[in-house]
Amino acid sequence: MSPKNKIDPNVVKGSPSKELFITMLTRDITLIDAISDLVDNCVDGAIRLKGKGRFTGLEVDITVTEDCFKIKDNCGGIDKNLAQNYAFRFGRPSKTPQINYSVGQFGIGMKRALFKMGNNFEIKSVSAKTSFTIEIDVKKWSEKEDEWDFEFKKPKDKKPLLSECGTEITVTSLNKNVEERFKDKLFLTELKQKLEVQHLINISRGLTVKINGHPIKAKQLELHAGKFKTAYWEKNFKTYGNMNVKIYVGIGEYKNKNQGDMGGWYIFCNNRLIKGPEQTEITGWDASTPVSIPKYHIQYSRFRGFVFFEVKEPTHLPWTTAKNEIDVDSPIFRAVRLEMIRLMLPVKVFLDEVHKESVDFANGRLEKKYLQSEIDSANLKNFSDVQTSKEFIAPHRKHKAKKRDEVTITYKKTTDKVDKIKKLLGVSSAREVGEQTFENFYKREFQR
Amino acid sequence: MKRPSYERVDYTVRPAKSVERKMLCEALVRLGHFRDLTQYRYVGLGSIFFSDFILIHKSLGIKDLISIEKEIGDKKRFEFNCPYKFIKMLFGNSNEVLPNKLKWTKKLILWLDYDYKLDESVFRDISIFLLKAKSGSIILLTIDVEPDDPKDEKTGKHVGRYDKLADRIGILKIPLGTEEKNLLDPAGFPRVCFEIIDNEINKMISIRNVGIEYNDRLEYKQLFNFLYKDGSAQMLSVGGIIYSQKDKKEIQACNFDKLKFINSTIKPYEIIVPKLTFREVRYLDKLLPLNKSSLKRKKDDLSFLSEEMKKNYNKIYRYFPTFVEAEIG
Repeated sequence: MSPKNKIDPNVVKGSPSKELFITMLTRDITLIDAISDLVDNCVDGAIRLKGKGRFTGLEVDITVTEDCFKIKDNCGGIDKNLAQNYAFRFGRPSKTPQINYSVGQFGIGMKRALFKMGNNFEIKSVSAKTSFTIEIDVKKWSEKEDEWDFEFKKPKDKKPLLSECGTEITVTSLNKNVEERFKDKLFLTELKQKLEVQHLINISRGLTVKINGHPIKAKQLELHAGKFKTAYWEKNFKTYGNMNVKIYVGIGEYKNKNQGDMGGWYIFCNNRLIKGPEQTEITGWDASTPVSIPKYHIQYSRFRGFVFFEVKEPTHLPWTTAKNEIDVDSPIFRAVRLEMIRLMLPVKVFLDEVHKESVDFANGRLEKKYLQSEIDSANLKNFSDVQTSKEFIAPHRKHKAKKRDEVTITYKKTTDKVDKIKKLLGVSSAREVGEQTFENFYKREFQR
Repeated sequence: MKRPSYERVDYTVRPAKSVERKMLCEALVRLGHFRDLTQYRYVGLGSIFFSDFILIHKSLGIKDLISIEKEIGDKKRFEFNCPYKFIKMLFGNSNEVLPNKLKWTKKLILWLDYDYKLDESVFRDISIFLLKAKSGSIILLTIDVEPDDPKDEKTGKHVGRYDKLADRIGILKIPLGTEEKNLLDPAGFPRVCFEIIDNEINKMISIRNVGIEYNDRLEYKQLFNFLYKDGSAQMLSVGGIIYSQKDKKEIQACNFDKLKFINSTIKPYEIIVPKLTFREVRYLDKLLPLNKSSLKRKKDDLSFLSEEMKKNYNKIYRYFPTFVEAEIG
């Protein structure tokens, strides 16, 4: 290599600046997405260990305090060789060993997440055969312009780094705005809410995720069973690495906005929730082809659509690097979206009827809410346990809207006239005036 | 519709509330070390009794008094019962009055004595106060913290306390780790409500401080965390003072902490007013202060009173309410 101070007149510099990674790419994700990304790494460890089996016994512990962030797992750890050659590179070298059905893909997640949070990180990892510690001071690292590598820390003694195979990442000297967010206790609630849905499949497979010691529960993907049949569609896309796509469409529990409205579409890539509940045109609300669907409205709060993209080689998945958006330009998503819209229609029609029924009931045009009682009597079951068919099937109204044998009559008359009749009949309310004058007329005309 | 609380309860004979009022006043006396209290404006949620207004005026001399009253239909009755002509009545609910009708030109003592449970409207009031109030202002929020019925009032269906709370305040306001069992517990529910309010106040403070120079940055110091029960519902009062860094030293010089009921922790200061006769009160007064040995003394004339009652009396005797049934002619 030529000495640094000698500039080759024919070379145009194309190497990235560290700033790109430290302060720019970090703007593309939210803090919660960054933490999710770190959880994804743990999940990949779990997948490496258990494949498609259950994750029982595996745990991810997240600790958030005002001045420190820590994430610790017992999901097998990172092999030293993998760390040395791939895991800490920016971007994923094409020869990186592949974990089938994994969620880590871009080789940016962990670094970006850590840069987003603070200046100092310590990563300890113990795998079956190897272990290592890396300490990074971002400020110092960024000062050396052309030096991109990190160094393993030499172990001081022979004590094991961690009590079991796994990884522990600690971030300190938090960035100012991160510190502010961590001070707000509501941030923890927000984080919990997000992880509960994003990792619901992994949690229901037995993975424990804790935030400051509190285990989070998996949000259930539940659908009404009983007389309802959930729409199910499945396809294998051969030229996309044999990607398998499944769609379920049905109805679930009603929750209002405050209780956490769950109506909409849920899009999963290799079991990681990317978006959901999604209520915009991205997933077909307000679409006009192949069928017409209205904008999302709370009256569709019972709508549930689940889409699962699953593929061994995650590069085919229709997601963005932040894993919080769908890559809407992806041909596979564009194709699947049309199927989604088509499958929405029968549910939309049914929920419109339920809505109409409740309006009619409130106005006294109906005696009973038939469809509502069908929903109430149908059990909620996990989506994988409900009966399916090609299209969503709901019970029909068995009885036609029965007319009541009473109707309400309302009309207006001037006060002085009504008062006169009140006096005459010896009653005190306008209602009685109406009722008694009607009775008198009826008697005179029909009962004489 | 629920009747307004002043029609359900006679406020003048709510002993614990009366103790709380006096304690608040005593704390406000200390605030006088910071600024002359006549520079302050007191804003409360009205009632036909105006008990807080009368006490605040008589004991502190504050004349700038504003009563926010939501029962517009009873306007005449309020105006009739208003004890001083310098009390200004602003009709409407606090959510309308605080942002629209109230001028935030003075330092404020704001007591939002709601007669209902924590809901979204409380957050609106908290946020307006923390966006607008001047350094040295005091806020106190009183809410009903009786655990919810897990059933829906209208349909009778089981909805659960978690969902009920979520319905009122939004799921993102519920602290991490809150479970159904915390909300059922008569001690647990106030704790959850406390955390929710405290989180909200701290969040708003940090938002208010964005881009502000150090000297003007605000800080919140909790002064009050009372728990008491006069009628059927348990009530929680949480609040404190906000001040800028510039004023910090002067505020510290008020030495609020010297008062025993001042409480900056999550554990509430419980106000329990023992039901004692005047004869008992007079006798106990002579024995004050009651210490461990005098409490345990079995042989005094009041051995029929439990140690608990005596302890509670000792804790609040200076604020003990003296209600007399009398016609003042």
